[in-house]
Amino acid sequence: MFLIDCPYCKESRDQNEFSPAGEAFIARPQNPEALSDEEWADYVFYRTNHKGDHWEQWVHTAGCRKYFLVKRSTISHEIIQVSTFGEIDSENAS
Amino acid sequence: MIAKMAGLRLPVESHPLQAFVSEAMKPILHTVVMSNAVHGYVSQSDKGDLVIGAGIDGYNSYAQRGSAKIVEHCAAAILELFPIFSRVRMNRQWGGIVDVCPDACPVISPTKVEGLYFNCGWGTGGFKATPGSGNVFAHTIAQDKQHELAVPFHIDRFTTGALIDEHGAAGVAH
Repeated sequence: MFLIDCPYCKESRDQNEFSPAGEAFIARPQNPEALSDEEWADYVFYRTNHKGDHWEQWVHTAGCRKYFLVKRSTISHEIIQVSTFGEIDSENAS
Repeated sequence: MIAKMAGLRLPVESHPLQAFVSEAMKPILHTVVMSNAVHGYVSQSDKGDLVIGAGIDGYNSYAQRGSAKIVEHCAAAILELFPIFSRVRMNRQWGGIVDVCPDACPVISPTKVEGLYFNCGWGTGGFKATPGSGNVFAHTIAQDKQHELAVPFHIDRFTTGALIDEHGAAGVAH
């Protein structure tokens, strides 16, 4: 169990209020018609499964109900950074 | 991790799964009870302690510990089934890491890399399937082709879309 700083509510709240929503920066394909089956499989099912620092999405289910980005260690559960969409994307995420 | 070394990606993510053991009691439950409706399972060991478990945490983790939310959810599910257990004290709790596929079923499969085979994604289940799956996996390696029982578990199912429709059965800890 850990605390998450909601970037919208500006409060540190119990993880129970939030729901995880998967790996971050998985963008919907720009041109779905042109995608091969392999590329679809990669978009829908294949994930990186980081051991270490991991960018992921969370939603403040029992709060503001907004989605945002969290960089969290999957080893220690330490939360390193929290961000709204737009501030950080796959290009400038570290 | 091994897949990454081979330049492959897998449709697998790691999650914490927890289980609990209670104090020992006189015989009260002679079978394994598992419920998909309230999402929990319980049995009594020969020693007399209750063995209880529930689902995984939704977030990725390698931390080998689960969250309190799952503990509460699990206890609530068991009490829904057996209100008589409401005063039972828990002895131990532990969390382990399970690898889960999107359809909660395992991968038993050759890969694009010659001589590399995967038997993974056993997620919340698998313990009781170990001898059988080991047998068909050995066949897969020895013959370099899928054993007929393992055909549906080929990793290509995520490309063809022929997922295994057993999430309800396999997605619950058992």
